[in-house]
Amino acid sequence: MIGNIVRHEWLLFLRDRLLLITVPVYALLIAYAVYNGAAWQGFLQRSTTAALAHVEQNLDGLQSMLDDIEHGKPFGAYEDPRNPGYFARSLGFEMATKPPAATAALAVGQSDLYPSYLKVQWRQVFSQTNLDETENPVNLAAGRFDLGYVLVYLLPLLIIALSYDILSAEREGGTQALLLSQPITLRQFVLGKILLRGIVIVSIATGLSLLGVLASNPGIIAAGEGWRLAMWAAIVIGYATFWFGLAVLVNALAKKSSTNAIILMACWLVLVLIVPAALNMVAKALYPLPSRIELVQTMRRADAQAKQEQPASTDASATELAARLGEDVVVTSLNQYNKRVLPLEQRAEAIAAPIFERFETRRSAQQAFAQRLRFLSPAIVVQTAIGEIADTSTASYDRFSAAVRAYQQLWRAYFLPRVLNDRMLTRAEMVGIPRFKYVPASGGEVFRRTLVDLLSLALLAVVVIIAGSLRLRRYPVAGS
Amino acid sequence: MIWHIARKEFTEITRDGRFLWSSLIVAALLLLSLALGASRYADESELRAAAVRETRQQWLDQGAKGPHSAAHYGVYAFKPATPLALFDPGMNDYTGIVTMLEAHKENQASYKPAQDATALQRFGDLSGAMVLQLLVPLLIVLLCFGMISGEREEGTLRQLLSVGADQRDLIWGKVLAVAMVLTLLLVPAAVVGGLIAATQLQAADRHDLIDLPAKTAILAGAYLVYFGIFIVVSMSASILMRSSSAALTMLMAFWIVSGFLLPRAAADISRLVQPTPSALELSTAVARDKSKGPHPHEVNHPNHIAFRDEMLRKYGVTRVEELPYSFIGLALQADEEHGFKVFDKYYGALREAHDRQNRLQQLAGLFSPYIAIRSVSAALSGTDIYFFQDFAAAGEAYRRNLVRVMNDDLMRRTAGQSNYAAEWQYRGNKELWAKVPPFDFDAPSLGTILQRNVTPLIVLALWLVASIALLRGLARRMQVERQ
Amino acid sequence: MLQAINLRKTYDGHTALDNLNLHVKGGEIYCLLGANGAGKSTTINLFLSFLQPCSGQALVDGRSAQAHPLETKRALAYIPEIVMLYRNLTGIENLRYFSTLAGHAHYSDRELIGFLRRAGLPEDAPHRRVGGYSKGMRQKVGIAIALAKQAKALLLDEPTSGLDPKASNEFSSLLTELSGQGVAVLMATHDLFRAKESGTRAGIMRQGRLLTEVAMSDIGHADLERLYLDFMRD
Repeated sequence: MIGNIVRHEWLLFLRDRLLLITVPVYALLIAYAVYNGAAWQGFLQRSTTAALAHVEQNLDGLQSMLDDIEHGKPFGAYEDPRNPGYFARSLGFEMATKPPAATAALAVGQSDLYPSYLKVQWRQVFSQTNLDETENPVNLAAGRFDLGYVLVYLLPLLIIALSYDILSAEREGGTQALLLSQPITLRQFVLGKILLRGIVIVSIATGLSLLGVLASNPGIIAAGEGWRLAMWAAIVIGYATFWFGLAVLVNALAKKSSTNAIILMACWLVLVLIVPAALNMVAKALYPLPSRIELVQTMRRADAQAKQEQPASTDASATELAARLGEDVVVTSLNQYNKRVLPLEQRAEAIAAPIFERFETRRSAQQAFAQRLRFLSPAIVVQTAIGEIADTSTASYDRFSAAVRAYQQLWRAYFLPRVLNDRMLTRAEMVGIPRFKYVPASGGEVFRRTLVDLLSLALLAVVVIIAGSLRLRRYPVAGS
Repeated sequence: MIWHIARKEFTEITRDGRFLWSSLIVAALLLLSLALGASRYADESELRAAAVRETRQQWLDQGAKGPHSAAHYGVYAFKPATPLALFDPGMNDYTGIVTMLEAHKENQASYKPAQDATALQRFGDLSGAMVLQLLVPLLIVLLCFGMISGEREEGTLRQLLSVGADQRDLIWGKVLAVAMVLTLLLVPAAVVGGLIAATQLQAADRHDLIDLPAKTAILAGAYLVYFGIFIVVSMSASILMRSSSAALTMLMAFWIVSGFLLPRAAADISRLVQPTPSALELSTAVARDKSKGPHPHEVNHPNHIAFRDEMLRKYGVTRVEELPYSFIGLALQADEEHGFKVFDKYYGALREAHDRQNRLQQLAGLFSPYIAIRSVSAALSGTDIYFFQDFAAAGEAYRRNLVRVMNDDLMRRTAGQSNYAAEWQYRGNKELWAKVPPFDFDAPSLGTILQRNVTPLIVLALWLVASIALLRGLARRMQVERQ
Repeated sequence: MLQAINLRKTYDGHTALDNLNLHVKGGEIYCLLGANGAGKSTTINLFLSFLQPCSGQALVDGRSAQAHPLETKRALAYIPEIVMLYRNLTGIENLRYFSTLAGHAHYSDRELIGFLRRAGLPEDAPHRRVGGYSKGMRQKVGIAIALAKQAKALLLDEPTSGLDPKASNEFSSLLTELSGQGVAVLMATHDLFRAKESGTRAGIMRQGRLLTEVAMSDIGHADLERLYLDFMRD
C-alpha cells in the first residue's frame, strides 16, 4: 500500500515544474559544496606540506652555512647557526602543522578561522604576530559554502519546501475526502508521502557528497576511515528525519498551507539562527573572557616586573667589552643578552600565567557550556558532529594548539641549557631537534562523541514523530 | 481614499494576534541585542581607553635603552570603534583588535574575537543590524503576502472593486498601512536604541565621533529604503502569484536566497575569482624579498658589504667611523625603507585582492538587497573591512614614523662610533621617546564612506525604483480573478 | 447494508445529529433531504468514519465504521459534492491511483478506460490532465472511481449540484443501474426532482433529526415537495 502511495507521489513529483527546478538546483548546490570542501582540503594539504618543506629548506640552509663556517668562510655573529640562543629565537624554527583529515572535505568548520600551521620558536605563541591565514574578514563572516552549510541550513529549507503542505494541500485541493474514503489510514498516507520525499532528498545529499568525497580522496576506505562517512550519512539521515517529523507534526495541526509554511519557517529561524546566536550570547555573558587587550597589557606589565626583579644589568662588563673590537664582542654580547633575556621571558610568562590560566579556564567553561546546551537545537548538534568527523571543530583546533604549546616547552627545554652553559650547537643537535606531530582525537573517541550527537538527533526525531503521529490520530477529516 | 484604506488595513493588522506576537518578539530581540551591544561596547571602549593610556605610558617610561631596542619594544595599537558598532558589529568578530607596532615588521592585527568564541559564533550574531536586516524583512513578508491574494481568495477583492474603489488606491493604501505598522514597531525601538547609544557618547573618544549624526541619519535612511524594497516586492508577489501560499513560498524563497544563499555564494565565488596567497606563501615571499635588504647586523653578508661600500662612496670616506652618521643607524633605516617597499608590494597586493573580492560581492547586491544593506550598514557603523584597513594603514604609518625617529636619533647621536658601541652602548631617554606622538586614529568621514559604498547605495536605490515600477505596473493591470 | 443506530453528534454544544436511526438495504436508493446544516453531511461523514459519533453506531455491512474504519471503507464508495483530483495527473492516472488505494491494483488500462466511459467521460478525456477538466468531467471521474471500487454501498453528498440537466440525468440512470445490481445508495441532496426520479425512499431531516421517512412509490412529486415544505416550516 505504502509502495503505491510512494509511486503515485513520484508521478506527482515528476509533473511539478517547481520541484523539477528545485531538486536539481539542490543537487547542484551539493555538488558545488563538495567541490568547495575538496578544494579547501587540497589547500590545507598543500600549505601544511609546504610548511614542513619550509622547515627542511631552512635546516638545509643553516647546515650549508655551517659547512661554510667549518671551511673557514668569514661570517657574522648573527649568522652563526651554532649559537643556541639565536638559533632558538630566530634562525631555527619548527612548523607545527595540522594536516587535514581524510574527511576534511565534509566540513570546512573552523579551519578557515584558525591557522593550520604555526611557526614554533622560543617566543610564546601568544606574543607572535601574523599567525592567521590571509582570509578576507568579509568571507570569514559570511562563512563557507561547504557541505556543512548545505546540510545545516539548506537541507531543512528544502524539506520544508517539499513537505509543508503534504496534508493541507490535499485538503485545500479537495482530494482529501475522496482519498480518505479509500481503505487506507491517514498515517499510511503520510508515511508514503514522506518516504518518497525523504528518499529523494537524503539519497541526493548523502549519495552526491559521499561520491564526491570518495572521488577526491579515494584512500578513505583503505585508511579505515569509512566509518566516518557512514556516521556522517547517519547524521544527515537523523537530521532530515527530524525536519520531516516536524513537517508532519505541523501538518497534523490541520492549519492552512500558508500557516504551515510560516510555522515551519519560524521553527527553522529559531533552531538554525536564533537559538545558536542566543546561546552564544548567553555563553559570553555567563563566562566572560578577560579581553585579549588585557592579556596583551598583562604580558607587558609582567615583562617590566620580571626586568625589575632581575639584578642590575651587566653594564660594567659591557663597557669593558666595548673597549675591544671585532665580531667576537658581538657574540659575547649576544650570548650575554640571551642568557639574561630567555629566563627573563620565562619569568614574565610565569608572572602573567594566572591571568592566562583564568582566560583558558573561562574559555573552556564557555565551550563546555555551549557543548552541553547544543541539544537545544539539532542544527548545533549537526554542526558539532560533522566538525568532529571532519576534524575541523573548535575542539580539534584546541587540541592542536595545546599540542603546540606542549611542543614549545620541548623546544625551549632543548635549547635553554645550552644557552645557559654557553655551549655551541653541534650539527647532530641541529638535526636532532624533536619534531612536532599532531595527533588527532582517536577514532574511538570521535565515534563515541558523534554517537551521542546521533542519538540525540534520533531522540529529537522520535519525539516529533510521536507527537505528530498522536496528533494525526486526532486529525479532523471533516467537520469543524 | 488611500488614507481610508490604510487606516482600515492598519486597524486590521494591529488587531491580528499573530502580528502582535511576532512584532513583540522582533522588538524584544531588537532591544535585547541593542542593550547587549551597548554593554559590550561600553566594556570594550573603557578597556581600550585604559590600554591606550597604559601603552603610551609604557612607551614613555621604558627607561634608558638603545633607540633600536625601543623600536623593537614598540607600542600596541588598539582598534577603536564608533558608538554605532553597538548596533552593527559587522566584521568586528573577524578582524584583529590589537596591532603590535615594532621595528622590521608590518604586523597584521591579531586576536579575532571569533577565535575566542564558541563555534556557535559561526551561526551569526544576534545584533540590532541582524534583526533589521533579516527579521524585519521576514515580518514584512508575513504582513504582506496575503494582502491581495488573500482578498482574492476570500472573494472580498471582487466586492471591494465592485463598489468602485480604485485598485491603485487599494494597493498603495495597503503599502502605506504596512509602513505605518513598521513605524509603530521601529520608532520606539529606535528611540530606546538612540538613548542607549547616547549614554555611550560621553565616554567615547572624539576621533570615533566624526560625522556621527550624519552617519546615523544616512544609516536610518538606508534601512528605510531597505524596508521599502521588501514592502513593495512582497505586495507585488501578492498580486502576481496565483494563491497566498504561492506568494508566501515565493517571498520566503526570495528572503532565503537574498539573506542566506547569495551572501555565502558571493563570498565563495569572489574567492574563486580572486584567490589570495596562503599566509605561508606570503610570509615566505616577504622574507625572501626582505633579505635582499642591507642586512645591518650581518657584517659579512654581501648585501651588508655592498651597502657599506655605497655609503663610504657616497660620503667620500674610507672607514665607517668617518661617516657623518653612524653606519648602523643608516643601515637600520635603509633596511626599514627597503622593508616598506616589500610590505607595500605584498600586503598592498593582498589588500587589493580583498578589495576586488569585496567589489565583486557588492555587485552581487544586484541580486540581493541584503548584501547591499549589509555593506552600507557596516560601513556607516565603522565595522566594515575598510575601517579595519584604514586602522591598519594608520598603524603602519605610525610605525614607520616611530622607527624613523628612532633610527634618526641613533644615526645622529652615535656618529663616529663603532657599530657595536652604537648599538650596545648608546642609550636614548624619555625625551627621545616623547618625540613620537601618541597613536590616534580618525574614523573615516562620511564622505569617504559614501564614496566607498557607491555601488551598494546605487544598488539599493535601483532595487527600490525597480520594485516600485513593478508594483505600479501590476497595480494598473491587476485583475480580480487570476488564471 | 448501511445502518445508523441512535447516532448522536455534537460540536461544541451544538447538536448536529440527534438520535438518528436509519437503514438502507442493498438495491435501495435512500435520499436524505433537508436544509443546509440539517445533518445530512454529518451522517455521511459518520459512515465514512471521518467523524466519531458521541453515541450510537454507524454500521456498514453489519460492522461499526468506528471500530473497523478500513474494512468498512472497503465496502463504501464516496462521491463528494465537488470531486477534486490531482490536477497534474491525467484522468486515467487519477483513477488508477484511487483504485490502487482501494485495493484494485490489478485493473488494466482498458478496464480503467471502460469505467471512465461508463461514467460518461468523453472519448479523448482520459489521457488529458485533470487540470483542464470541467466540474462535470471531474464528477464523472469520481463516479468512475466509485464504479471501479465495486463497492456494496455508495455515499453521495449533493452529487448533482452544479451539473447540467443532461449530466444530471445520466447520473441518475447510472445510480438506478447500480442499485439494480444490489448496491445500497445513500444520497444527501437538495434536488427534490432528482430524488423523486431515482430514489426509492427519502428521509427528511431538520436540525439533526430525522423527521419522517417516505417511500417514493407511495408519493407523487408534488406531494413530496409539499411534505418537505411542511416540515421546513417552523
